[in-house]
Amino acid sequence: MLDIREVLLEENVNLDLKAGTKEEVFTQMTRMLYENGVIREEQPFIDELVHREAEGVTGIGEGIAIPHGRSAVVNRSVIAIGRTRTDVSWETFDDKPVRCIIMFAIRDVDMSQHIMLLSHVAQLLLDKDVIDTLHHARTVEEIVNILRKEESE
Amino acid sequence: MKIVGITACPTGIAHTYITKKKIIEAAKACGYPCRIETQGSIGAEDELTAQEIADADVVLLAVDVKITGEERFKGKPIVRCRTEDVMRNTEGFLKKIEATLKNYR
Repeated sequence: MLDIREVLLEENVNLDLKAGTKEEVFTQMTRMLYENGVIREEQPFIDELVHREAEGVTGIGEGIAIPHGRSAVVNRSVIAIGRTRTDVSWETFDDKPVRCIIMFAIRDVDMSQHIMLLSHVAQLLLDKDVIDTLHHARTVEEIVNILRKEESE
Repeated sequence: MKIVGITACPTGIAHTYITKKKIIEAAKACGYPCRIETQGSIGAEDELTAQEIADADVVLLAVDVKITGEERFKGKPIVRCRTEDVMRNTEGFLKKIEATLKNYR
């Protein structure tokens, strides 16, 4: 299995996102991905995120949401993390407000190990220690470490 | 109640695997033996064997998209729902299936 750092890069994490709505989260995180060269164009990616939201709930509970977009404008499959200081209105399974957004940017055709890694990370988001760390971590390092630790268990 | 099942979601990256984990954890908590196959973007994993299917009391299809190999479950009691139906209250969902099966027999 590849290391988590292959898909979770420090530059794609913003632990102080200034967003109050889902739309603002999408716009700001998409901008971050664009500036870091993960995606080639912003609007098609946002459209994909919105499209996926319409297909089902991405607020998986405990304040975490996992929007994802599979698009031809994605250069490489990655995970981006955004965290807000205030609640973001989001459809969730437990009706708790969202503050931590784990965004999956997925290359249109990707059968690589990166995809398996993304799926593994998705499962880790049910783990209590991981959830706590996502909400309270001060550094990206802390998040990488907990995901890596759980990964190896 | 022995459970076999399949999870599949539109993108095949996240919900497929999260739902699987939730079902397995809830089944364990309830004492139900359980095996789940995923049909994600990289194809089928942890594929169910003919024996596992034969031994199962119920087939749980938590799927948002078309899946393959459904003919394997011919003649078995099938519960079909969306991934989000299971994710909301997984233990409750499984217990409800058990209650329904009991009445059915």
